[in-house]
Amino acid sequence: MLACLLLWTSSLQAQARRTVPRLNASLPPGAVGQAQLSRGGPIPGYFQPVEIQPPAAVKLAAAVDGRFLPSRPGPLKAGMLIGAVYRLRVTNIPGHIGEELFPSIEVIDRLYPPAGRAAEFPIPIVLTEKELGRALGGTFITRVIYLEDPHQAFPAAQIPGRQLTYDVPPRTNPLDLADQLGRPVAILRIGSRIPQPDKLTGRFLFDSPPLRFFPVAGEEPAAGTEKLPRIPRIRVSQPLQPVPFQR
Amino acid sequence: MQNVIHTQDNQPARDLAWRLILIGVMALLMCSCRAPGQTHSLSLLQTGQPALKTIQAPSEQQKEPVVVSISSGQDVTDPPERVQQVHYQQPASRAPSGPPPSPTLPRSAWTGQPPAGAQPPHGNSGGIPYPDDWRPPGIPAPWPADEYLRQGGDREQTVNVAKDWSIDNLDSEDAVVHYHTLDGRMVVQPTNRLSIYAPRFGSVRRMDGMIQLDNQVKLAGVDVPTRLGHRNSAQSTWGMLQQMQPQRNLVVRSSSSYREKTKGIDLYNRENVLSDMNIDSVGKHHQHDQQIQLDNSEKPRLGESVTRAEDQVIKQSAQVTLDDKPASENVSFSGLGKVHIYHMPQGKSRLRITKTSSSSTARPGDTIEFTIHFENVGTQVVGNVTVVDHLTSRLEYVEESQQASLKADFFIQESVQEGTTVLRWEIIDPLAIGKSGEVTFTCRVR
Repeated sequence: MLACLLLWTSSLQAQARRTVPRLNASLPPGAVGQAQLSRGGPIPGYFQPVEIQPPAAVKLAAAVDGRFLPSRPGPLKAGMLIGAVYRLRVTNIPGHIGEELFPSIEVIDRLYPPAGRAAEFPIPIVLTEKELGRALGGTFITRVIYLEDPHQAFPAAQIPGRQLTYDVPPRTNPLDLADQLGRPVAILRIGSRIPQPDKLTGRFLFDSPPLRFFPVAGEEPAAGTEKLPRIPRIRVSQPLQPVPFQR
Repeated sequence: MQNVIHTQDNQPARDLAWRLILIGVMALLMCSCRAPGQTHSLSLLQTGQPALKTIQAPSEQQKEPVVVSISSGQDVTDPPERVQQVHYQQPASRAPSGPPPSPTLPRSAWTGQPPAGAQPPHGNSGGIPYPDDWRPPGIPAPWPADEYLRQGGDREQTVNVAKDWSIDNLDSEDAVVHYHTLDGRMVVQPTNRLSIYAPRFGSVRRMDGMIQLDNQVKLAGVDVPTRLGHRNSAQSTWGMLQQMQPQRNLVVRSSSSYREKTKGIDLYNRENVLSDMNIDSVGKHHQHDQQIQLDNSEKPRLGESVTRAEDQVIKQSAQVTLDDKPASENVSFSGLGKVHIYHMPQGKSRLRITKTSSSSTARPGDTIEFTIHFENVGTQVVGNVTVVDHLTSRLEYVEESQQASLKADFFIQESVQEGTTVLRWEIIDPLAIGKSGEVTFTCRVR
């Protein structure tokens, strides 16, 4: 009886210590973020700046309004809503020219920087060539980015272009370890799934949640976007031929 | 004739009335559990917060979806043709005049209930409807603590400096100045505590490959032959063995015989203990009684014994006997003089210590310059002024960046286990009244 009581109290303490709900990162994208939204407070409606830092020469494209924007070299800094899931397109990967990856980013918590300086302290998500190569090889990578607890900080300098990463074995919830090391703030998922865009449901792009873009350091703010006329991809000289159904 | 109306089962009517009133009250309570305009949501696991919290329903104005630009994203007031209506989240709204909701906060933020009369924040530039500089009411800045780098002060256990100049309980982030006063005291004085906004991030990665999936399929195949094991379990010969219960009877008989033996042991022990205790207790009581009788009634006899003891003492100390003074008096006078005679110099010793940093925010790789300024604001000179700063693991000391305005010896001590660095300046000359000095060093944020 005493042992059961001790186990129960220790379990309660562990649950009370958690900064994220007791959910598994293997759940569908958006589940953890939606649970965070139910906590209320200043989380819903806040655009948390996120900076995706790819390797050199790798190009990124964000999805807006059901389609990807033109790819451009990184880093890509944008404000993302907490609880929403954002799809990216990664191209021009060294050694894999012509191949594409479509990672997803789910922001599950926010930062509280000094007023007016939110864009200076985004959540960094570093993509490495090794990770991209393994994802192209069929590996599904789930990475939980956490805010490090200063009292448990790893006593080493951070190397530019790299991020301190702990590897956990399969079937292990990375959210658990991230919650012990600090405060989980985002989940990155990279796989080699071939996209099947569905314009009706928008499932692949997660309905293209809104983004708030920030100018990259040393770059002029982008001028107002002009709407270009839609150019059809198929010329009139090549009329469409109906394709019979095949069973 | 009796005027009491009886019901069918011969109960008084007033009992029936009480029942009806009770049912009505219960029905009223049940109907009032869900009032319009309020929704209840389960609070997630959080220390010190109730499991059920109430959120005010959004007003009509706040029920409109969030309108956000998707093209440039610079302004939320773009023309209508360039905006997209978003239905992902409804902002956590609240009545302007009502009490602020109790949002579930990170564990580092929760320090108790907000103070009475706390006003809701103003503005609408941050998370809707919270301003950028929002923090939970009743919690002092900086918040949240896990986004800030702390340096200075005395964090956990109080720093203690021993006589051999060794420092105990110097935790990471601590910065103290210790010095000697003219009366020989060692004073340890912490600096102020700095907070620098410098969040750092890490990640936890899990990689699931196709090979792992193959293993899972194979394991599912292994589970199938275990059904054969089910047949073996159907041969329940073990069940027949369990029906043989003479072993239980044997156990019962042996336990009864064991009880008889234990009784004998208990009796033997009790006899021994009683006999010993009687002898001891009688002897002690006897002596105690004698002491009480001597203190109360046989004072003359006690006086004789005391004088005999003094005579013996006097005989043993021949030098005291020559001075015609009892030995006991000499000893007591000398002891009192050592304890109570104490010379206190005039004046007080005090330092004003200030620690500052060149920046209040930093990113990994940035450098910050720290300055510790100390000034003698007391009324006497202090000496052996020593400045000790235990850098946190997020700060790396830049080599040869330290400077001291006074002549001082500088030492660096690395802590391999914690990955921290302790900087130490020993000011050589005493610090006169009104004199000040400072040490400066640069750190790189890891």
